Amino acid sequence: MTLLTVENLEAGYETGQVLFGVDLVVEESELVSLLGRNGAGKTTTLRSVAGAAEPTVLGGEITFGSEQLAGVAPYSIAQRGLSFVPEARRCFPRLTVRENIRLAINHASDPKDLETVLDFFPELSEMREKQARNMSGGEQQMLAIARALAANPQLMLLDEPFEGLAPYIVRRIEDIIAEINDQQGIAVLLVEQNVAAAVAVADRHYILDEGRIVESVSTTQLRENEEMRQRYLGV
Amino acid sequence: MSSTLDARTRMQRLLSERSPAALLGALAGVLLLGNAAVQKPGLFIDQAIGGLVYGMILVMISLGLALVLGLMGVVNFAHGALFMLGGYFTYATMASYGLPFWAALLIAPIGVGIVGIVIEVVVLRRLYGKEPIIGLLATFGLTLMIEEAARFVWGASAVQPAKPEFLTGGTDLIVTQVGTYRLFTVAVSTISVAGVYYLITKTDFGLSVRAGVQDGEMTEFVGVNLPLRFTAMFFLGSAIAGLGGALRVVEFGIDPGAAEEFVLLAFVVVVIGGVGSIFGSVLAGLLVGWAQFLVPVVLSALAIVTGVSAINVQGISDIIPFLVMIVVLLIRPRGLFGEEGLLE
Repeated sequence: MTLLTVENLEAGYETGQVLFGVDLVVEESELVSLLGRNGAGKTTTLRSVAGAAEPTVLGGEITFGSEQLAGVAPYSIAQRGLSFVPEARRCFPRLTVRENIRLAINHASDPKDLETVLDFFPELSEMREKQARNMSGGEQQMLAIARALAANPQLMLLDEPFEGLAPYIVRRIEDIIAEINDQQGIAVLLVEQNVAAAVAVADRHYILDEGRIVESVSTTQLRENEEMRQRYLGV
Repeated sequence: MSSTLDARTRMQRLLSERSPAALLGALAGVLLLGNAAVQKPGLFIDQAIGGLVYGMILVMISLGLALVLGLMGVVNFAHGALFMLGGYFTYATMASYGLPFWAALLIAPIGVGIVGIVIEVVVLRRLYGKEPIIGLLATFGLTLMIEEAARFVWGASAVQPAKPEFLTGGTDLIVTQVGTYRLFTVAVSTISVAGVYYLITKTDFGLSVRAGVQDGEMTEFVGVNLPLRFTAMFFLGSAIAGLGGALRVVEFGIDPGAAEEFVLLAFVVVVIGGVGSIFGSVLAGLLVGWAQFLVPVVLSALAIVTGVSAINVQGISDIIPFLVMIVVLLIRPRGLFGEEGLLE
């Protein structure tokens, strides 16, 4: 069944329009990546779906389950089962690991309990009273994902979860994302510049260029088509 | 649990970081206070309690100002007008409607809280995320409107309801007598400030507010209805300021000028305490209250000891809050707890 449908989405900021008709679909329990160069509109797409105040959605439709998301407040979108992990992790710096997760649990309609979440992240379990600002980038990324997982969402939006992380942590985060998808059946829409990491975890890929989806390919197709990778992703 | 520990360790750090010069200054302060206490014990205790009463009133006004600034990023100049309204609502409840003091103590804060909600929904909600100066100008305009409305309804001169009989007596402290009402003020304000502190640091509601102060947008992404919390915090801040006004009007009366006089002092307190820190505002409020009441006593005691009567500067108490602010900002530019606010 289709979980998320984005149709002809146009969006932009005060400085100008960024998206010129984005179409994409995420099926239930699917792991899809959205690839593209810097400035292609990846983050803008995710933020539009999450209901952020900026960018402004100028046209098109966003359907989650059977509901329209355009004009719905971000907290209300989150409560409907859509968890957003924005770029730069955005853990609450002066809240502890426990408080960061607790907050998500308190405000989700069908949350997991704290211990279930921490069992999933043994690293975090050992530092539950540590403030997020005192944690490493990799630990913060885990916390950001743990916080999203705590809400027990149907769909998780991940914006560049591998950015700025050491290779071995990238692999750990890849495993976590794959597990969340396989074992918990949570659909994931992953935005990445790191094509290798995206190929490692996602089943299907959209390529975004200048505010439009230009390709929709399987992992095999993406691997084999070097010309396509060169043209849109520069790799 | 963790946050009380935090407060304690922060306190220790604050003390341990002091330089020898600062410790010398503190020693001099203790000696001056000791001299004043020996020279004029009655006056000293009297002023110490006066400073505590005054300081707690300042804390009550500053809390709301600090919360609104921390959470919504709006400098609410109208906060002093809300304090003033608390006084007038109390006067109206008691003098015009003949209701007892207890009722006024309940009705005035709730009434002021409702005015606060109206202000938040009608005016402030449009200003979030805009330049701070716009919020300052808009709330300054609101202050003038509320002031003029009060002048129109209650007149330009001060009004004061009759003190309830059971609070009129004094409590004997050997060297001096303290009005029972003053002790009552300290008790009520302490309970309400402690209540706010508990709400912010220990409850799930407080957790969502603290998260909102740190990263409002992300707070919404995890499912928190932030606009509702803005309104709730504005109600709370207004109600506490209103309660402060209610406590003050019975002893000192209130006039329209109180709106600007007290918002200025509350700003001083918030700046001294450090923006975004509840703990800092509480400490700074008490500091300002005590400084204002005790410095004149200290100076006059010093004048007696040294025989130099010029030390006993008259009318110095009005500029003391600002002197304290200057000194604190010279030593700690972000205020006492500006870097590690409890709210942040």
